[in-house]
Amino acid sequence: MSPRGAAATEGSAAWPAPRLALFWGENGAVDRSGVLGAALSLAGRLPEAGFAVNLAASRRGFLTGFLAALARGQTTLLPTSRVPGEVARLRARFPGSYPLVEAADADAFPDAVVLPEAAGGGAEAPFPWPEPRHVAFVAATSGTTGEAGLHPKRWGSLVRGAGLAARRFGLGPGLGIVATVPPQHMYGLETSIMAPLAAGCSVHAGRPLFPQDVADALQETRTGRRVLVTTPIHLQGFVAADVSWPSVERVVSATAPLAPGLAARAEALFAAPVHEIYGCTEGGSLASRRTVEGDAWTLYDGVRLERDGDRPVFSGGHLDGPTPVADVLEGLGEGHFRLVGRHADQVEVAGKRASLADLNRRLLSIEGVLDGVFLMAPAAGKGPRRLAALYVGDGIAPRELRARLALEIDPAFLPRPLRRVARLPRNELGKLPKQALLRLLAGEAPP
Amino acid sequence: MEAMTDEEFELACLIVEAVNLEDVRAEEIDPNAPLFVEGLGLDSIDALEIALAVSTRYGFQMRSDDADNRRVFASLRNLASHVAAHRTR
Repeated sequence: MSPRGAAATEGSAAWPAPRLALFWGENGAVDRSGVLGAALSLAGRLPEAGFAVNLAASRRGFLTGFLAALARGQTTLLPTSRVPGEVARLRARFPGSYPLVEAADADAFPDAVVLPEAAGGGAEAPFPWPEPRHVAFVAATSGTTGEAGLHPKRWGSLVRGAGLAARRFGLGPGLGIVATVPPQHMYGLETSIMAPLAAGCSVHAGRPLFPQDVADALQETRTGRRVLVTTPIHLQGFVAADVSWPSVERVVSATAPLAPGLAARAEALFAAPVHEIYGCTEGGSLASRRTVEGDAWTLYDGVRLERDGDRPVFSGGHLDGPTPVADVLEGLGEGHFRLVGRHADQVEVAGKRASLADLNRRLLSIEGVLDGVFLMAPAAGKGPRRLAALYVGDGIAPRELRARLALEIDPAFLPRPLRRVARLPRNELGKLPKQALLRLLAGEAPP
Repeated sequence: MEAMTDEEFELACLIVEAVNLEDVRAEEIDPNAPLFVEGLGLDSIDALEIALAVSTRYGFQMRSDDADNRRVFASLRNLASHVAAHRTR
């Protein structure tokens, strides 16, 4: 079922059979052959171009557009956001590229190719799967300089990565995935596009957002075997909602650190283990852990963690070559490691250095804290710049939390102010834009 | 800008509180302006927050699985009539 080593392709024993369901939801189930057929007929309408920007919000739209581009030998661009300015900046770096959109977004992108609403009949011709070296995607990341970083993703590596995720999480035929993350994000792409394509599971066709939508989508899974792919911010909404949930086999979370307390509540709510994925845009998913069991990550099968001077470097597994990452990792042996911090996150207060990621982890590990973040507060008056922190949690008052933190961290890093808020300004990937945090901090500060 | 009904004002207060819009006053929201992007600049996570607040206050669960979602969130007025049609308390 799960390819290892060389990429599986259609016709090999490891490649999923054409009659397996690929989607369910909206208009019922669609098998793989139907999706490939729709993609092949769309492929004939695509312009002569090297690159397509796939802006589809639904799984069905994204996958149909991606497969059509693939059939034409084109590369799909993944923008950091679907806002028009971001899309325009990305297109400017790939002259001749064109957007692929769903009908509802057609007005915002007048020169776009509009994706078909319905699946076609079965594929009449064999699908022209690409060579492993073909660059199937280019993922953009927001760079520190303002210009996006660009990360090519090759077909062979993507298929191998899907196989590794399938082994780790038991994904395969008969299992349905419901995802709340956009398909344009690497995590969403791997779990809700590549895993169904390469491992033979199916995925909900739409874009469920509200707790009741997600519960309905899970309920509609045809076999009753379900995996929920989501983020800490969505999990917060699910534990707060008065909705009854069907049983799931597993919950997977990524994009932001998951507080162990929230993980425990989610495990109780879904009666299933909650696993977090460690990954990055450069390398995709690399390791996972069950959050309630501790902070050690377990590498995906065949992935190695080595060191080049100070820098951790991943290799093996699905990776095409050595892939350095910016994080500070502590190897624990036997395929395990601990995330100590991120270089970009190093902060200095009164001559002492700390990692924001580490401080955040400590904040999140305190009972009653559902979400929280440290940030460098703007300079104010005399004295050193201080860290500030914002947190979410009705169960613990700021005074009490400060006392708990004082037991855990150097006094230099105790937040001033430490402020409780109703929610953090996470974007739809669960990330916290610095400017939004500063605005939240400034807006609540006394005049 | 058109006047708000009492129901719309109540809902506006709920939204301002749910998404922590400290620099926006409920009575300043244009009932016909889009709530997302062009108007208050809300995103899908805000939609999630609003849906939670609505379900707590009005006793029904919002759904986005139909094409109506854009229409419902297109303005305070549309959201208010959606609430009026579905509320159980």
